Amino acid sequence: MAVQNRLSWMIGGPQGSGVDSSARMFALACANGGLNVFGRREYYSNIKGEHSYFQIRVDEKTIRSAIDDVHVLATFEAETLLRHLYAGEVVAGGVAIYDPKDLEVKIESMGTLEDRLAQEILEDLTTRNRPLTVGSIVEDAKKNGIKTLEIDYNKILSEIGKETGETEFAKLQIVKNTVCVGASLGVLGFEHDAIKRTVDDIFEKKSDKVKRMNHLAIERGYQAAKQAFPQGIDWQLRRSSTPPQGTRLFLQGTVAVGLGKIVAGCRFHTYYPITPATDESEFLESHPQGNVVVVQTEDEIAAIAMATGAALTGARSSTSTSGPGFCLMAEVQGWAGINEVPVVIINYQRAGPSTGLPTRHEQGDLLFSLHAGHGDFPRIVMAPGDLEESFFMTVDAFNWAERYQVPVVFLSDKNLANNSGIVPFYDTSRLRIDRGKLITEDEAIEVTKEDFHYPRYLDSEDGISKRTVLGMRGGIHWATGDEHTPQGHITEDPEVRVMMMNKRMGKERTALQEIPKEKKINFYGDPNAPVTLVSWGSTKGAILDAMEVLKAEGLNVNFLQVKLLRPFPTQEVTEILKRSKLKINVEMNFGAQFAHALRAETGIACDHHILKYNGRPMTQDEIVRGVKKLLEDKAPKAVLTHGV
Amino acid sequence: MASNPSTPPQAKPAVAKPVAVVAPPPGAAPTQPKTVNVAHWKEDVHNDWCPGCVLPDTLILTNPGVERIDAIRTGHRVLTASGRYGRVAEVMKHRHRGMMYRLVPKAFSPFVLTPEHPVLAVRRERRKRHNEKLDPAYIEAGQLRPGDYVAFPIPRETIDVPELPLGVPRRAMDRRSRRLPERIPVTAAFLRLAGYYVAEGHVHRREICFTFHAREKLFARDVVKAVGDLFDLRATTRERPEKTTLDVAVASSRLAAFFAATFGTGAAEKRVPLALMQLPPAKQRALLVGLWRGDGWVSLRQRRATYKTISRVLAEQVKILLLRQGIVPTVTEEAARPGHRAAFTLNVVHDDDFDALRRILGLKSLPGSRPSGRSRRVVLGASHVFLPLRRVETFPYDGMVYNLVVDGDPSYVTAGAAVHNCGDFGILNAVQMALAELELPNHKTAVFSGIGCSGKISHFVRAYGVHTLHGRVLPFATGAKLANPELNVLAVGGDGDGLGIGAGHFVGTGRRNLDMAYIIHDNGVYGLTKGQASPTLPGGAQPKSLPSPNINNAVNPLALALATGYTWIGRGYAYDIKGLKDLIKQAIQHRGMAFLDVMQPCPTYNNINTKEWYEGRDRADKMPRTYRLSETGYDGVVKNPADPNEVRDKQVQAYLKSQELERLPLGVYYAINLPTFEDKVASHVPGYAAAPPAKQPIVGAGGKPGINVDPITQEYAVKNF
Repeated sequence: MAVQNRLSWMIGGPQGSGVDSSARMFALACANGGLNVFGRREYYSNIKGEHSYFQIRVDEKTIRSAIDDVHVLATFEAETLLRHLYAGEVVAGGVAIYDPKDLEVKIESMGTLEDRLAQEILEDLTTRNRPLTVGSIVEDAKKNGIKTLEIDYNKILSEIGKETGETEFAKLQIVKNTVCVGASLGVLGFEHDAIKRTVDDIFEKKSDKVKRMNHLAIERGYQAAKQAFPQGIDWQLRRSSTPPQGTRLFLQGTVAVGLGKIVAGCRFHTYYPITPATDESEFLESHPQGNVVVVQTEDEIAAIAMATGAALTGARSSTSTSGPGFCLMAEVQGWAGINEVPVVIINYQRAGPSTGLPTRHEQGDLLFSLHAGHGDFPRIVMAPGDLEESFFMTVDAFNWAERYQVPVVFLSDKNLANNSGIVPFYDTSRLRIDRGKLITEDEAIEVTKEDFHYPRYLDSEDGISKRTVLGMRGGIHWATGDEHTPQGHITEDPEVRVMMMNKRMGKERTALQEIPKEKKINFYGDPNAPVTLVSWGSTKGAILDAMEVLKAEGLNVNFLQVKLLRPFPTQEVTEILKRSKLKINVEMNFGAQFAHALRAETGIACDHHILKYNGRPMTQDEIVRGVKKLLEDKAPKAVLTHGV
Repeated sequence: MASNPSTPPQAKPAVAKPVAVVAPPPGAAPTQPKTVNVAHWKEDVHNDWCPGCVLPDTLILTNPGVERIDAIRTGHRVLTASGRYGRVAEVMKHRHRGMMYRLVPKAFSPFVLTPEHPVLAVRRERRKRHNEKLDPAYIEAGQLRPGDYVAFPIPRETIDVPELPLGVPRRAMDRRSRRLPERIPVTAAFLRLAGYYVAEGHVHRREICFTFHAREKLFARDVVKAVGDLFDLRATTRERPEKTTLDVAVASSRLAAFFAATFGTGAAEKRVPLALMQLPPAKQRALLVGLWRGDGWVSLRQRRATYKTISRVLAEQVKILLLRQGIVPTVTEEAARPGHRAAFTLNVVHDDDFDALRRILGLKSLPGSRPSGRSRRVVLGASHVFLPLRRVETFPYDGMVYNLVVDGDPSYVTAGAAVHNCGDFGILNAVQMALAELELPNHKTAVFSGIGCSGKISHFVRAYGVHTLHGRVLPFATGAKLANPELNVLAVGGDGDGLGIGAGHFVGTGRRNLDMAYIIHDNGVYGLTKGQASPTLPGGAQPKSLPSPNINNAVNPLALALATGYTWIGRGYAYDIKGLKDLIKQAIQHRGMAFLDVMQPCPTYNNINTKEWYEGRDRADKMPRTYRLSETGYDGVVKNPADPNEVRDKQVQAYLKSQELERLPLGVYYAINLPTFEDKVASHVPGYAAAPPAKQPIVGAGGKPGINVDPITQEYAVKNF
């Protein structure tokens, strides 16, 4: 019996060929049909030509991660077909959609394949005395039970051209993707009407001709699939039988953070273009009704310096970047720390070091983010685990920045930034804006009697001083990266130094006391489970999905997600971990950075580590396998490697 | 920089109103023109970096008297190079390890400074003859040679005080003592009496005693008469032949308390109060008579007058009293030795000086005595006395050194000459003056600075001061200005700061055209790290701090600014404070991004581009190395920004000026009114003009978010077809 509404679909092609928009079309069609989707986007650091792909997982239930298997592989060029079939991602009974002429493509002629991969495939084919073409790989796949759907794209396109009067080849090429989506949905037997309305919705503002071209493309693809598989395949898509309640959103992490910034009152944002952070800045810039001034700076140092300068005036401000830019921001973070400036830095981590894998995922900046900059200064480091936290924790970030008058580092990552999913409509009714000890002009005048020297950095019980901002009458003070007096003048007095250090660092203690437990950590699952997974950031989705699978298989695991990483919630974390029987640390880096921080802050060592550093995010299946393997072989760590 | 991003670019109305630079008369009606209050922009803070300083025991002329520099505090008043008294805005000290220079002038006392400390001085033109023109300027101590003149200002402030308050209340139980006048008329008799007291008097319990030589009966009688006339008291005179003295005693506890409080008691602590130091010189003659009769000695035959005291303060005060009469004494100090305290002798020997003093003292010239014909060793000018240096000595030192910042006139006066501090303060003063004249509200002004000697400037201005990171001043300032366009933002940095580590920001900022001003202190070296070559030091140059000639070539800040889009480009010179002030005002008033390059000698490390170099002292034609563009008819202002030909011509002209190295043009190279970055932001972000980021109401009712984000979120809603 066919599996309904639980599958994974993949489309690939050269960068710039429309892979993203076709994936969006497929995902929206499913989402509009009441299903849950999770989209994973992978691309090379390249503008055009290199292989990129998008995997959409669909399910009736909530899903938060990708799975290893691909049930429908939709292609319109040879490389995607080759790579993903060769990698064995498509399961037996699944379908590969391709253009028959791609079978003739010689592997040697495919310039964008990595040498290592090309060599491996060629050696394999040579050994088996098979033709050195893509067709050989497809033959192998067929032997393994993979079904095929051949589509002569050019024939369909020329028909569409004739029907719509479009003669420009380039414009027709664009709808190739749509044909591919139509064929996929046909293979899966999805309701035709939902697709049509989705296409109408997507092309709402386009010309009738474009709409018609896309409609025709869907139609032709769909029909071709229906002809080939009149009975369908083992996986089927239908409108959800239990339509979800309430409005749902389909978005990616950069949008979640951007929306969070607008509602949090962030009104000044800076950036220097960098993958994968730039999408957020572009979102803010393209939504001027959010009233955010967005400045593209000359470099990341300028980005954080500008954001900090703006914060001095009382504007809530932020900058967004990725690891290389975050490295450049270290010095200004120290300046913001010693001057107690509320500024929010979003670091969408990507695989490092240096340029690393610029478009790939990693959680490799944790230890650096906890300590970036020289000397000791207070700061908050926090990491959301999913698209809801990406939004709501962004609001917390700005509130805490102002309440504790510290720089806040918000550690997102490429997995959250570029992958998309379904979340309930963000309910902002419970949100509050907390500006902390920002005082009014009248209060400032009360303190200074209109004289100068407002004691901006005055010591206090909780380490937090009443803040005035540039332009405020009665609030004149000085800011300096040098150690300073309460008024902000330079001093090297050893006693003042000690007083100021104690005051500033004391703010971390205050934050730990005030921030509620549910904003520091999440704990999922049965407290008495024999295994505890410990993690932070975007591994959350795959872990939660894996827990369900493991539970169904009879293995009960629970999960501690740490959201506040500095100041570290030692008490709350210790309370949970001292009860847990076996602790497995899960994170996307080589060095088990979180486990280091955990041990430093709590003295608790993890028993095992599940680590991954090939640049591709963890899938649900990988974590299932990893946990089982570790329980079996008791090895110190399991290193995951899935992903093309 | 009053900015309104919604209005199209146009020439800004001048912010500055005509201002009166003189203080209004006391009790002036509020309708009087406002006084430019530069002090309102000065900040009291310690400074630990300016290398020019003096020893802790250096005597500084204060108001009144003298004080060791390490005893001077903010708010004290000190004599300045202009001869007026100024308020000490700041006392700086730091540890100095290195050579010290001891300057020994003729006539006045030696003083010790670090080699970089500028002294008000004049270079000697010919060895044997005095200069014909004496135009004092600041020259570093280390550059001075024997024969050069140092300048000591003649305090000219004059306030006539007709009466002095007695200020000592009659005791409640005191019913018997004679009533004293509550206000004492400042008459010649009183001034002579004061002089006698300062020289010869002391207070013993409730008596004032004057001790004259037995021969000085005439003076004793003068005291008795004055006491009778002024206070209706009877003084008793007692001859003490065993001591060859003639004692005059006045019994009045109130008067004794007044004399002790006003003039001090005990020879070493005697002083003349400020009120008497500032009397009109004609009146002060009576005081000199009393003083000289008490402590002085006149030889009509030798034509020499001498005044001796063990009070250091009194010695300097008498010097000043004499200078105010046009008399230049020679001050010598006898060091203390066992049984003797240090003593100070003032000699008046030159013919003109002697005759002037003789006439004041009412003495006739001896018949037959002839002018000595001694040439004057010093030169008395209208406002300064110029003292040739006898010697310049050096010695190694390791210890604290001090410096002052003085309101108004950035200088103070040692017992030997007036001294200045380092060039950054010239720029600082110009900045303060510009801000004062523009009448910007302090709290709406923010001074951003980088790191380096110039970086500390943000601490010295009474405005929001933001001392940022090395090279980063512009992005910090940009963020603040964009977030709150109401702020008047002034960015200041060094040449290394702005053109080395911060060069990327220099370019980026030029491209943006925000409504701000940026000043670079351009001195060719990294001063704070001991003089490495900065980006503006020409290739091949080798200031003393460089081990070998500079192998990098210089960047031209003006040409770079032109290439990157600054819409106002100018150059000033640190020692031309007034011209600089005007340029800073224009830069601030310009609506758009202004760049002002300020050439500044670094007295410490750049011994090539010195003040003398800028003055062209080494040039054959002696022409200054700077000249004002405005004096040549040059006009850098684009009249019609829409005319590409005019824009191009003005840019080419500015570029050519930026390449003039023989003589460096000062003034406005280029100016154009173009839409600002704020204008462009306002055209994209609808709420910007009305409520920029700093002014947005981000908190709604009940602490809820002030914005409804739902309409944007809705774009991502799934449709559920």
